[in-house]
Amino acid sequence: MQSTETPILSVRNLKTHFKSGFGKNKLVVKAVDDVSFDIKKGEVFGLVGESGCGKTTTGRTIIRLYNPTDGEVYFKGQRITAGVESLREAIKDVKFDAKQEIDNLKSEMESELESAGEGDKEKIKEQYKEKINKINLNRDEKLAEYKEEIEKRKEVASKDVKDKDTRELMKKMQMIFQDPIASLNPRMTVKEIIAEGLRIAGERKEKVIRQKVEEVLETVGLLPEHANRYPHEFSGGQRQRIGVARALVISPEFIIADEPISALDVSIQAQVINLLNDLRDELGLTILFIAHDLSVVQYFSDRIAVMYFGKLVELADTDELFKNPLHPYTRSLLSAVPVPDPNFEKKRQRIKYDPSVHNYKEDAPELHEIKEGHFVLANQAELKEYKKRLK
Amino acid sequence: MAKEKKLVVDNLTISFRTNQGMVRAVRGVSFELEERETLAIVGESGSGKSVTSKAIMGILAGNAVIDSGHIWYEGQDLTRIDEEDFHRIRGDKVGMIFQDPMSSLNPIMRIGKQITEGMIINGKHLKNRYKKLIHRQKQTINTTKKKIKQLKADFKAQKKKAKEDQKVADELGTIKNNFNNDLKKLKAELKAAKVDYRKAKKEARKTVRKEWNDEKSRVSARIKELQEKKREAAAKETPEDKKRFNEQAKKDLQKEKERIDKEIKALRKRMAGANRKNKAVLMQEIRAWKDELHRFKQEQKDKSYGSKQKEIQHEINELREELRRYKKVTKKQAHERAVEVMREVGIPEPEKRIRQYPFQFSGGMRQRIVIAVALTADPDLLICDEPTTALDVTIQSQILELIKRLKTERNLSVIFITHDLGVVANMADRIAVMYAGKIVEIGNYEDIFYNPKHPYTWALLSSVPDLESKERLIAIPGTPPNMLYPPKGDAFAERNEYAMKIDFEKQPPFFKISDNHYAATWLLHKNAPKVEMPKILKRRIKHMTEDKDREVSV
Repeated sequence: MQSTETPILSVRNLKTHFKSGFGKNKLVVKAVDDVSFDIKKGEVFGLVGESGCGKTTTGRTIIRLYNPTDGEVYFKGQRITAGVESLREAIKDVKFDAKQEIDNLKSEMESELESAGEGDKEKIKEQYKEKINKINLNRDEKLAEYKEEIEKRKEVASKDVKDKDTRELMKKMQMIFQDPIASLNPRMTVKEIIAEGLRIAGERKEKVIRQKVEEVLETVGLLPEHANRYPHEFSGGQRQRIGVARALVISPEFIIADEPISALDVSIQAQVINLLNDLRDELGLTILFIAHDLSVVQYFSDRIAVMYFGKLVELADTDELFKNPLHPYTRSLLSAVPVPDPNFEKKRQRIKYDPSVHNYKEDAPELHEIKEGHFVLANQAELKEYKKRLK
Repeated sequence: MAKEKKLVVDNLTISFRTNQGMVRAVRGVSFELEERETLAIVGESGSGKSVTSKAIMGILAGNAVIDSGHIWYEGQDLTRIDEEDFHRIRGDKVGMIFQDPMSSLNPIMRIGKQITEGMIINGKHLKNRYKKLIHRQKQTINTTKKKIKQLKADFKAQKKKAKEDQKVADELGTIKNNFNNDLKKLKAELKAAKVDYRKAKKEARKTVRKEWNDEKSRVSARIKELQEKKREAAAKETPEDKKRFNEQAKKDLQKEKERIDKEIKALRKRMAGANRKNKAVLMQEIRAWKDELHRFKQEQKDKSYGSKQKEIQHEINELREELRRYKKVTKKQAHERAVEVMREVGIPEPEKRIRQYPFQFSGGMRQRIVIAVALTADPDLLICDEPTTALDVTIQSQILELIKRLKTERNLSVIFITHDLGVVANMADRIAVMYAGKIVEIGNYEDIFYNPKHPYTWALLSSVPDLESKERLIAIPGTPPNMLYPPKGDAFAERNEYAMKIDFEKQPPFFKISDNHYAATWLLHKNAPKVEMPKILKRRIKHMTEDKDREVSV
């Protein structure tokens, strides 16, 4: 893996907040809070964390099922989605600052006017007026700048419907959903389900569609005659294959797999993992693999990011993460994985994670690169400790 | 170890009637559950493991038919007893934790009510009190037993080590002596504890009985007193009084009747000339007057002769009810017990949370509540039907720890149903692997994990990636057979790469591997070709058994 290569997907300071209620009852859930990472071409990037930590929201925001509150996502070097919240905040700040400055100047002017003689008064007023004007001008300039940026971002956010290029680009990104029973429309045949994406992408020729559907069915290990059946006629593993086929049919380069195996039986899980593994080798897919089963993630991914309450707490190569887990949450997560080995299991001690071990009151934590390719969320004091542990 | 058999399932066969025909869900399952043991039943969905557990609980769906077989529990055959008798066992002696905490709790009922519901219907105050009194002594016995077991294991290990190191004989002798001394001491302790326990039991029974008798005599004394009063009151009122009273009442009634009749007559007259709408209104008024008369009669009856006696009788009835309730659990006690159990399963601030609704709890907390509901009646057999499948890793390990702790604290026997082999490794003493309605392999956890014999067990074990594997996973091809048409031979044959011709024709019997370890596969027949387990699995097992002391990776 070369770090010089441009990443296929970059996420920068992504925030997705959900709001509910008004006034006193207003509640903001920070599902994703300031998350940044890069995914390189051809790799499998695992995203793990407990339920409710925001990993699914991250995936859905990337593919634009949700609009981000703030931050940007770049896909193949092009910005595909952007939130405007931080700019709005910045505008508020600028306005507030300017107002305060002006108020300060005014009070200053008054005190000076009191002490000054009759003749100077006009002059002083003139002076201050000029100063205030300058501030106002400055403010307006900044505001215009921000507003322009907001417009730009908004345009990005609504581009896919209008802009052909963006649409082409977004076709290269597909998603596999968690529950193969709930995510397939029971009233559509397999062919209709798979072909839906093709039709939306503008394919009209029935012959081409049929051919492509059959091809993709074969790729995922189903038979072409399955195309005319309904989802309920298939078993769980086969249904998930249909989900994979639906994602593959418009030949994407990047796939977001949102817990594709957690709803499946053990013996079927292995089938689907093997399938994804083969597809990745054959088609050179890049996969964002979202899951909470660490043994599967470890088996399947090249790099792993650990999320906790909307924040990325650790990111490293798979082997590195399992060898040197630094953040206490990662350690607790790793210690909770059950292993099919009784002797080992009987000795396993679960580490409890207590967020209050961090003292973030004075020194806010940041994502630091502690070793090449190994990032961890820490403040300065913790960073020192982690570094010591690495040696 | 000659332990008591808690539960014996013998050749159980269950089918479901459907429109397409009979679905053979369970086809001749036999196993035994010993006291204080955890038996894990492992298998894919549709293998019949949940159906088996539901049969034990007696909560099979309406279209289920138990074709043959028995479930023996405490001398009773659970497949034969009627619903009334089952009430005495279900919940009280056999508790169950269900799979999905989202759907097994009622969303519109406060959780306090859900926890106390069973207790109020079925709770036994006296039994609980008795159990509480002897709890400590029981615990001592258990800890001593555990110590003895530990000591024996230690001694065995020491002996082995000494032999390996080729120590001199007298050193071995000292070890033996030490061991014997310690063992003697502990056995004496155990004896003392048992004596203690017996004494405590006697005492507890005495106390409980005394409390009960005290309460009974208190109440009956009071009742006697009241009855005396009642008699007195009756004696006071002479027959002349009664006569006069009744005459007065009659007169009053007559007067009232006349008055109301007059009113009604007037209304009827007005009704003759009224239109339809007004008629309805008038009709209503008439009805009101009739009611009034009825009420008057009732009042008179209440006030009539002997009202004082009636009052006293009412009080007596209440006292009797109180006595009856003394045996049972009252609402308040149920509430207290619910709080206690909630604290036991690790729910913080139970006093506050008992008033909340299920949606206000997280998934893990909800599962704890489901466990609390199962525990309130103090069962001694707990069936866990995939209790952690809907939860994520961290919560899962919390819940598993909780179940384990409860098991040792309360001496539960547990049947643990799951499809996750990692979970099983942590929990089980013995494991039964089920496939297509049959047990294909059963044995101690070491047998199943380190010396599996059935190809299906191999496939299950090698299809989960562990934290070290990097090679391609062995997936089981195909899907489980349709149980509408159960296969003639070995059900797994079609997905089995080691299948032989006989597998498709004849069902394999159980072959004995060791005393506790059986597997149903033709591969173990003496005429079968020698087949090795998959390489991945072999390497993994070698890795696991050789490297016993390897550090936990964190």
